[in-house]
Amino acid sequence: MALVDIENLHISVDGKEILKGIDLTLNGGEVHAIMGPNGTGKSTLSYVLAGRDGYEVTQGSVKLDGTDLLAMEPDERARAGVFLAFQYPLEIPGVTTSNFLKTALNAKRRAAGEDEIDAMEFLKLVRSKMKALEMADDMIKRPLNVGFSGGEKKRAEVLQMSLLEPTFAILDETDSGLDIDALKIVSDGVNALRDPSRAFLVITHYQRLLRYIVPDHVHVLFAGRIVESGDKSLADTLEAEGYARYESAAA
Amino acid sequence: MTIVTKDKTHPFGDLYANAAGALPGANEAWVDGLRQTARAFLGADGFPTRRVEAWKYTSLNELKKTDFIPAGKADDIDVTALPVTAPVIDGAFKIVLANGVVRSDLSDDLSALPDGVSIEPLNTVLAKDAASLKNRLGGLVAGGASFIPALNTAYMEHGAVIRFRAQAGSDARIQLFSVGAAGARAVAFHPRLMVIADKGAKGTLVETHVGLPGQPYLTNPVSEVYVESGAELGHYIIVGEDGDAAHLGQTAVSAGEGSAYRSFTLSLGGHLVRREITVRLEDEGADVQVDGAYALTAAQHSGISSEVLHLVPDTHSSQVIKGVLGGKSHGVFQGRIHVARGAQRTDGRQLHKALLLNRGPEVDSKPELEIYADDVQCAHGAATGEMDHDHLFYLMSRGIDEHTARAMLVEGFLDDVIFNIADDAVQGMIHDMVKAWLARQTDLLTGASS
Repeated sequence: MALVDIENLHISVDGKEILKGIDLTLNGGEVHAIMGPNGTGKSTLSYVLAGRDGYEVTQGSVKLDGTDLLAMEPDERARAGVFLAFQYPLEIPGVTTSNFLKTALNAKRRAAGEDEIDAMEFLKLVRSKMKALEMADDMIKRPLNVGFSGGEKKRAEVLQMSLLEPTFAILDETDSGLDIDALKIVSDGVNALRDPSRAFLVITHYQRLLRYIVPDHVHVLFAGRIVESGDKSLADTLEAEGYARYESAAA
Repeated sequence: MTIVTKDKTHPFGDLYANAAGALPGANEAWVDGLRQTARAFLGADGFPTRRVEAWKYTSLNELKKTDFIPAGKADDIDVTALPVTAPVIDGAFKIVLANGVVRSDLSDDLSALPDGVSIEPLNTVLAKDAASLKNRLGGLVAGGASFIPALNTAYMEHGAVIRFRAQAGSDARIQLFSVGAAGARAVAFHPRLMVIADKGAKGTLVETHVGLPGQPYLTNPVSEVYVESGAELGHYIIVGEDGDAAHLGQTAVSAGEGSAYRSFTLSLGGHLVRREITVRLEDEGADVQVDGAYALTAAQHSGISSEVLHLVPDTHSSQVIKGVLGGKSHGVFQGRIHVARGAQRTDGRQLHKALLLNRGPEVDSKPELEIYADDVQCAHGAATGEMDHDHLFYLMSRGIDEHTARAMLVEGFLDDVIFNIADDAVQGMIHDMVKAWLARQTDLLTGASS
């Protein structure tokens, strides 16, 4: 059975159809890339999968390990193994990063029938993950994402992902706002999580990220539909030729 | 001078009518004068109505109907201990006032006062050495022109004079508990605090206002705070009154050259609360912080009225007030920054933010800037809104359930300003109080608005 099964997914926002029938199957261990120009529905897809309000599912289904994902609240999805690395991680004043990480980790552990992590063990775990991402120790004392640079925010997203160990990770434009060094660190962080029990959906505008996180499959999302799928070489083709040919096809 | 002895609109006029001559310090003309001026003001105006601009958002109608007697006239009240819920700061000298009266039996032994600190009951000072307070008592509050200080001044008798002398250091930490308690009848009391931080002194004063359950009480505390040149005073006010209590308080501060005044007001308890704060930055280099937070539920009303007066060049003030409101509560913030003519290079900031937990509460916010100098940096802002759905989604997308996520966001909203408290022990105490408050509000956090 596929790990993630998206079938004929139609999504409307305020009565306007944004996604017009998406079919995608991700098996454990696979990395799928979704590419496409702006305004084509890429972020909509990531938000719908994570369970954000404001999107109407008019047709279709999404299953994670055979379970109906769309019937679940965002927190239930997360505890079931979904993780969205946000394009624009939110700044939350007054909520310290460490408190947030610990609460999230314990929610996941409780759902799995495990004990809550003790404070010392938690610190040790976070510090080791932060070290791998070349993050400063004091970051976890700061309010969540407040005053973080673009690169720090993306690292913080990958830190969360590596703590929560999702089975289905969605990366929404994780490369945006990263310089080349940060891109490499973040990509290494993601690659370290690649595992036969886990699938990744990497949403990106540019081929750049896919040099570091090499996908098994590349899909082109255009005007709410997947118009072409291929292997990693499709990303190179798109880099060279752009999306113009889909525009003429759509017209 | 008009002496009003009996007036239907006079708050508690009948009961206090003949007391004036018996109050401590009455034989000093200037003390008596302060009281008489205040009584005349009360006699002429009575309780302010909402037609008075300063009271536009706060109704005293309910209070007016309550049949209060002066706490000193009730003979059926016995405060034997602090309420168990009163938060205590470790290592601070404890002084307890019950219905405004210093209770040495409930306070720490005076011999244990930190170096350089003195505390005396106000009535003792007024009776024996009123002259030592001349020009200070009544120097900062408008006892003849504003309701809260007038009500206090007219009946002023009890309270404390707290002085931090130059040798007072960072261990000069005082926690003053004001405990309100009524017997068979509702009571009113009017504690007056004189707080003086001498030149170069350091000190911390935490005022903790709590009460015992029972009939309602009205507490009317007024503090006059002198922060002399180079002094550093931390002044924290916790309003944790009992459910039906009313608290009408004012703090008036004078900040001298190069002085630092750090304050935070937390308003959690009481049915009707109004805190007024007036800060005069009187000399160059004065630096004040007047932050605060409130958390309200049910039919609670809490207002903060603030006036920051930059009177000379090169002074600095900052103020952040944050409030969380549930039930059908009502929050008010009236804030004014005044920059006097010639007060160049003033830096004054003010921000009020309120978070509504459902559709029931009301918030009135009135920030004002009055600037009569041209080289200044001043900013003010006010915002009232519901919980940010994107924030909620972000937390929930990490597996945190909705109730916990909401509680974290409310706590974070208040912690954002609580974290600005430089005093770690006070910060910790206030944080814990907010957390405990939140834990009691399960019904508010279910997201009635969504």
